[in-house]
Amino acid sequence: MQGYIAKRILIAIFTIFAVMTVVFFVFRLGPADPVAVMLSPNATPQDAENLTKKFGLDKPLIIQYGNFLKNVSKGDFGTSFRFNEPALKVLFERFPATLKLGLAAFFVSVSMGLCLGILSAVKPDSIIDRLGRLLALAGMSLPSFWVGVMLILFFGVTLRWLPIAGRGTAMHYVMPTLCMSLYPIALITRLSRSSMLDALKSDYVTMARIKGVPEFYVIMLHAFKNAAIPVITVIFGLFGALMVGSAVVVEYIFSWPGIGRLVMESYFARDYPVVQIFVIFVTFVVVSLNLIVDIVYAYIDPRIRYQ
Amino acid sequence: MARPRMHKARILVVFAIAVMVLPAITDALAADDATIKVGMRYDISTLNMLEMKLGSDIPAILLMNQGLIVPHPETGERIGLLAKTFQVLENGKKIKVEMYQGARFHTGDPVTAHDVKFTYAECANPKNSNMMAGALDEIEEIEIVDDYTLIFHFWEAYAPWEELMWIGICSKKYYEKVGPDKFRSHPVGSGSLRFVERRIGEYVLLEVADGYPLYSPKGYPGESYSFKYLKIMTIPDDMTRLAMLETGELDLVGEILPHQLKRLNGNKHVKIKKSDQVPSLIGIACLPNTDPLMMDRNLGLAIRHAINRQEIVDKIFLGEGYPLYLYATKAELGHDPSIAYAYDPQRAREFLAKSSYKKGMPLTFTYTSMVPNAPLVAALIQKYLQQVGITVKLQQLEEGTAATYTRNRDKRLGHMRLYQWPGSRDPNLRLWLSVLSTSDYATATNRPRKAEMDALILAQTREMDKAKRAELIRQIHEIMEYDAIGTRLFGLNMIYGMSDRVDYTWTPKEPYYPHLQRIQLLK
Repeated sequence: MQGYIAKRILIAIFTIFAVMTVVFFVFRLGPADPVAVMLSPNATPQDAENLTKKFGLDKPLIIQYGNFLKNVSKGDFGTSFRFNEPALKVLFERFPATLKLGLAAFFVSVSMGLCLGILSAVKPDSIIDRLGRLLALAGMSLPSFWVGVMLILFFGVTLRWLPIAGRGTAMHYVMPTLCMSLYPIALITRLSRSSMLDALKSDYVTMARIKGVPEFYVIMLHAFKNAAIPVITVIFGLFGALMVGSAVVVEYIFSWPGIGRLVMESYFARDYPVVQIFVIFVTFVVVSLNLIVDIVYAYIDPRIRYQ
Repeated sequence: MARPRMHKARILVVFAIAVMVLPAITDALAADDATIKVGMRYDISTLNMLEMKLGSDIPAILLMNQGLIVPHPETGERIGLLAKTFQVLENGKKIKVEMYQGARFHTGDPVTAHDVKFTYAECANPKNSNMMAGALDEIEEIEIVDDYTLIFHFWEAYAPWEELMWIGICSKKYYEKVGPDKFRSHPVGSGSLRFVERRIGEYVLLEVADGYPLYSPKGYPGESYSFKYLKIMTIPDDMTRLAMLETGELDLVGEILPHQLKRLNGNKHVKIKKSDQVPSLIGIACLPNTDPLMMDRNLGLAIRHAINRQEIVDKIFLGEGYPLYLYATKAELGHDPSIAYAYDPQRAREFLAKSSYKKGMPLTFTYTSMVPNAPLVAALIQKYLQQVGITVKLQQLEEGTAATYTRNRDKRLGHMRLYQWPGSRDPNLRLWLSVLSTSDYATATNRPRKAEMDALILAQTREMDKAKRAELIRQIHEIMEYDAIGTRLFGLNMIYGMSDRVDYTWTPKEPYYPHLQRIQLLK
């Protein structure tokens, strides 16, 4: 088991390093120059030269990369071109907002998705199952930017039930959380439903029922425990996906001051240090979650660690 | 049978209560009598005048930091704010400034000539990457005569010197006391509002500084405050910003597009105002470095006459704009409303026949989202040009890529480019940057009367007599109009909306939310 974990950690470190390198070169080899993007049209060529020197962009790419690695090894991920503050500080100032929203969406997605999936599987073709399938279809097919706009127009402008954007109260969480959770709810509902349907048809469930085990225990202890493995993988991966994918769109629409919006604005402003630290951070989160999943897998299913 | 009915009735009651109560709660959350909320598309990148990089930083900075001069809030004309008098000496090589005594920073320290000199030196310092640094190179040195008098020495006479005098003055003493980091995070000025809090990506909160400014400059109508706090909120999405205006979560929103008006006009709680005196200039740049054909005067004239500017304004911008012909905004020195070209496709075809353009040759027309409704404008331009026989291939680029291509004169930018100039009241900087042949940003570096044009641009910068300078600028326009390398299309009205609890009027000639402290709380 220890050898297995050590191997996984080494792969994780290599992955982070590879992503860091690719991100560094991909951004710099792109057509847009941060200085040209950042300068106002009124800025003079002298201003452009000053900025280029200040950001170290006047040096050859390989030297920039060398400096980048040297600084990263010291924990310095560069200074934001836009905010003139350490990129790490800019990211972590915005991270709590995304984390809170991500956790809210994660909780709603997992609880609703699992409940709907299990109930749908236990009572196929019932009203709950049909509703669950409809929700899954809608969640899978409706883009989050459209859902966000519709939520704003309906709950914000027409009914005036909920504040439209920003944060401050619990009410501010409702619309962005709903918008962010719709797709994951659909995904978990579908997956848990199909896994549960397979499990409920299995021999050991039939045996448990024959033995007179109460239905609740049959479902939760016998069927769901075995159906949970693919769902766990998705759930762990989902948290990373929520923080990266959905956050970008949802935070933009609802003016949520998190890292999703930050990275989008930073990308358009070619604020390389902020985008780099974002990608490195997200890679770290995703790799760590995958590492945890691998270890949990190995713990749940001994066959994996013996391979 | 009775129980399900009871259950339904309960649900209905809960729903009805929710319908009645929730809007009241959200309205209460939205309406905070002491705070005025202004929604902006772009995040403020810094509140430090010394490191100011973007136009979107200006409104908040100038609420906290006063300049030597300020636009009059009603007329837009420049008047002294920290400066009592200006004296032009040695035919424009020196400007002597006498400051008001009595202005104080929020720390209580007086605003003196030493602070002015410090601020200008730091803004010009390359390490601060200030957007004004290049323009400030015109100043050779600042001489302090006494605590309230100073002389700006220019390398040469500099006609648009007023364009350098709006910079918000910072406290030298405070900077030296707290250092650059705290100065950046807790800025201090002498303006009517003081800094309270900033959350990057979320808002900047400013508070009315009671008793500031501590004097009433001549000709300035003064300030009377009906609110306690001003919150400048970053709301990047257009639809969200307008929805917040509709519900009262925002009090003021600018840069509203005409097609959004229909919805807002139906809301009795939203008030809309418009101004055609805010700098706006949208046009087509021809790019001869991609293909020398774009220097062909007859092709340029054909393009000029092929485009129906009024129809673009009417169809795409629902009449909320005006055709523009000169390379000058309405708010600018040198703008001549009498110059116009007829929309005349037949004449355009005649010019095209005389040009070296070969029928069927596609000209690439690039646009970005920088120009409002750019895809529609580009499609209409394509239609007009194709009607007279010019084949146009449209290319949409991301703004950053287009900015880089422009700066590098990259051929991938295509033959023509749709541009928008944010505008100002003096054309000097724009002429130096985009017309002077030696500039990095000039599109036509080899125009037929290049030497004459460059000499005129230089001469208008040094000409201190306003009438003579206007004549030089007129001659520059004359050459540009004759060469016909590129053409202007239209300007747009500034449309801004506010909730019915406030009133605000945009200052003419100012592009960036001027004088926000003058928002009046009505309720």
